[in-house]
Amino acid sequence: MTRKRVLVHLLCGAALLAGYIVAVQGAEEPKQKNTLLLRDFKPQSMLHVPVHNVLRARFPVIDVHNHVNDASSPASERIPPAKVIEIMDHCNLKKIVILTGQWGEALQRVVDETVKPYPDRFMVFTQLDWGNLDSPDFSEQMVKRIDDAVARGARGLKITKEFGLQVRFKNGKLLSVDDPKLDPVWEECGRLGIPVAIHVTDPEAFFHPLDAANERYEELIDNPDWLFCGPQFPSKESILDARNRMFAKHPNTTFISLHLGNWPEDLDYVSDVLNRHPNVAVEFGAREAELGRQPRRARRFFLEYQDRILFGTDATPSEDMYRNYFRWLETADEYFDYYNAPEQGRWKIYGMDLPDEVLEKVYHANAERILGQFKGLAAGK
Amino acid sequence: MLHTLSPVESFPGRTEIDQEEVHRTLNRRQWLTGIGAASLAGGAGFSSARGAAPPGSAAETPHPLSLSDFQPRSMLHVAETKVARARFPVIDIHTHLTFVAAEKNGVELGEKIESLAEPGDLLTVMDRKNIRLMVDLTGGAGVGVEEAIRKFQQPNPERFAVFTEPWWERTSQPDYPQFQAQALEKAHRAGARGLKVTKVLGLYLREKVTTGPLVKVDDLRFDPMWDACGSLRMPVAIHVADPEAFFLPIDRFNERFEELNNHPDWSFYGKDFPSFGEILDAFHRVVARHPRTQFVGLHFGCNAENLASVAQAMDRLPNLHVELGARIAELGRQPLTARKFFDKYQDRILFGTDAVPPPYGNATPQQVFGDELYEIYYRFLETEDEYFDYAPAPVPPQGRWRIYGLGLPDEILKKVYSVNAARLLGMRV
Repeated sequence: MTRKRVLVHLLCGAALLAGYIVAVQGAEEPKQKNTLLLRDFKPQSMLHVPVHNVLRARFPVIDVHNHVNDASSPASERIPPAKVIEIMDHCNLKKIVILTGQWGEALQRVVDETVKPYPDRFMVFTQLDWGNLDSPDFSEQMVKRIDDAVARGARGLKITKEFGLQVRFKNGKLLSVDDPKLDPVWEECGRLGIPVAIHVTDPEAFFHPLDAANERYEELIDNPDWLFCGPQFPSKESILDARNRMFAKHPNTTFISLHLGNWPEDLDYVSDVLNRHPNVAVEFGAREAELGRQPRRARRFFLEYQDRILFGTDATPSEDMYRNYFRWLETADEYFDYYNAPEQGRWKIYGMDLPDEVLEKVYHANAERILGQFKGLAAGK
Repeated sequence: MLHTLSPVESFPGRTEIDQEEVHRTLNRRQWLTGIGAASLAGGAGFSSARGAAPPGSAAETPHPLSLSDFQPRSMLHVAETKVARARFPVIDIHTHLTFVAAEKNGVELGEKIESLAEPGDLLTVMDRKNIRLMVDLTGGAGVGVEEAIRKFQQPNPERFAVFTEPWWERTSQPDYPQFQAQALEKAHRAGARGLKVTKVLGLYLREKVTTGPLVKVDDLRFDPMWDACGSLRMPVAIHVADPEAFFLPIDRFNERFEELNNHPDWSFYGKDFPSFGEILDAFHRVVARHPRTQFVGLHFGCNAENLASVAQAMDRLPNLHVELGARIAELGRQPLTARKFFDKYQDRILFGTDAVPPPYGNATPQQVFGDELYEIYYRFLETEDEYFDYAPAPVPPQGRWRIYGLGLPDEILKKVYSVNAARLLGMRV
């Protein structure tokens, strides 16, 4: 294929080569190359490889990471629960956990509208209210809120990612993930037997400059407030170190470390976290893209930690979305789109072809074990 | 997903907030990810986090970004195995150490050749990389191929082999079929070890050599040439057609858009070009018609994107072999499918790179002869590394994707690296 170019070198020398290139490009839409924008590039794969669509999961599924009809959804965005259940039934979804249930009346609405009518199909977690962080009795307030939430029906606590990155005291100081102020909160969750689903930091690329070398360039252009690069942000590593110290300090509390421990790009690191902290499990919502581009390493991880990985999606329920995850987990298909591609990066993914024994644990058994630790308010101190 | 944005700064304090109002300014995804929840949930001093513009913020960010400027750096932390030497001695069946000098409309003319490297320079790299033999496919014809043989093969018969090529400029003459068969015999006597047929056949060669209708790959005038290769035991290394994407418009949907812009003469879309399928079918008819001739379908049977189709051809045509030069990009993005193919056809796959010595190869980073090239091929064949570059270039030159190693077992590696090629070349293993 190089031969023409080689011949040009040989025959014409550099000066003529330049003329040749100009002539050829002149004939073939000269500016196209330089003017095509990344966002307009929609390459169609020429590969002919097997496609296996998985319409229903091989085993019943619990999606432990969802936000459908959560406490902050405006009425216009809520999906009638019966409609969600129809999707779930089509895909073999047993249960959806709505993580962002907030607290108080907002939580009550989620419970009343979605959980109570279908107690076997939906579950809701509560959240912390950072508003009174500076109050001397912040910890006590939060513990009471959690107790109240559990009384209303919440079965876990969700911590969103501004914890460690953006939650600050009035004096501007960041609240560290291992701040002792929160110790009573984590302990209370342990006492009640409710897991803490925790999101700390974000993809590694979000901590790098938003430039042409950033592999999540397009995602960050679309969501500039997801960029955590700069002196006002701690490094990803230091935030995760604090998180790990917090995990270690509360061995009786179960943590579901969301988004694959928030470092799916480095499964050696996540393995180390899991080895050191038996009270931690991971969940893979919205990280199909990261795991799917390293299918062999990810499969080894899944086999090794098969008892500590939970199914989650972090995406609005739909048949297409769930089926994408099933294809990734169950088949050995190659070079296909992750759900919502190419939002998270311009690459394709590969299926992991997990064995049944592992699938069953990841799809529901691990979640059932963790959610089954619930003791409730009657639990002893 | 919506991507309308609202700067976090616009959020007022918690207590006054109207939840519905917040939702109108937040996109759903942000909301789900938690920013919204934080704002709603209060966050005294929360917005101060966004005070100073961080380095790399929108002000310094190129936007909109040209595709050509996008050079994403992978954030994956995965194993990186350096394979400095092949595990077993290698025969590189697909290199270009010489070229026919004159060319018109894509068709090589005349006997004069140009040499692209000195044997001594090549041998240094070959010894380092455990390359036993390099095959110079484009040795030309007539006195040209004799010159190539004298330069490379005669002084180092164990290290270099030279193939000859058809006399394209004679193809329009009535006595061409016999002439070509005799020319092959002559080249064989001079030492040529095989015949190389470039994609000139099917895509450039015309009835009046450089003008007129295109000559088909299975044109009967070549039958004596194919047969002579069989009786002389000269394998035919043949490249027909090109990647499927080269037969499609050069537009934003073409997965080899940048490559085609760098090499617009590689586009075979439109004009009077046959379709990809027509060329491949004609090639398979030739292989079927000459069962005593051994064909090496270069670039993985010229159809690396479709291994199921190559497998069908292999099943039907026992005298067909394949070679992997300049196709690890294709094979490496379907490692499981490729691995199955290697398992099944392990006796009919040959190692090749399509290497071109620098500086001539510089326009095609995936083919520049040197340590880096071989290390990437060895890594692809020997390791199970994931998501690595198939060429040493800031932008993957054949398409924007990364590849996965095959992790071949020793038994298959030995065959692919040299045993299969040695058998076809009539060499001792």
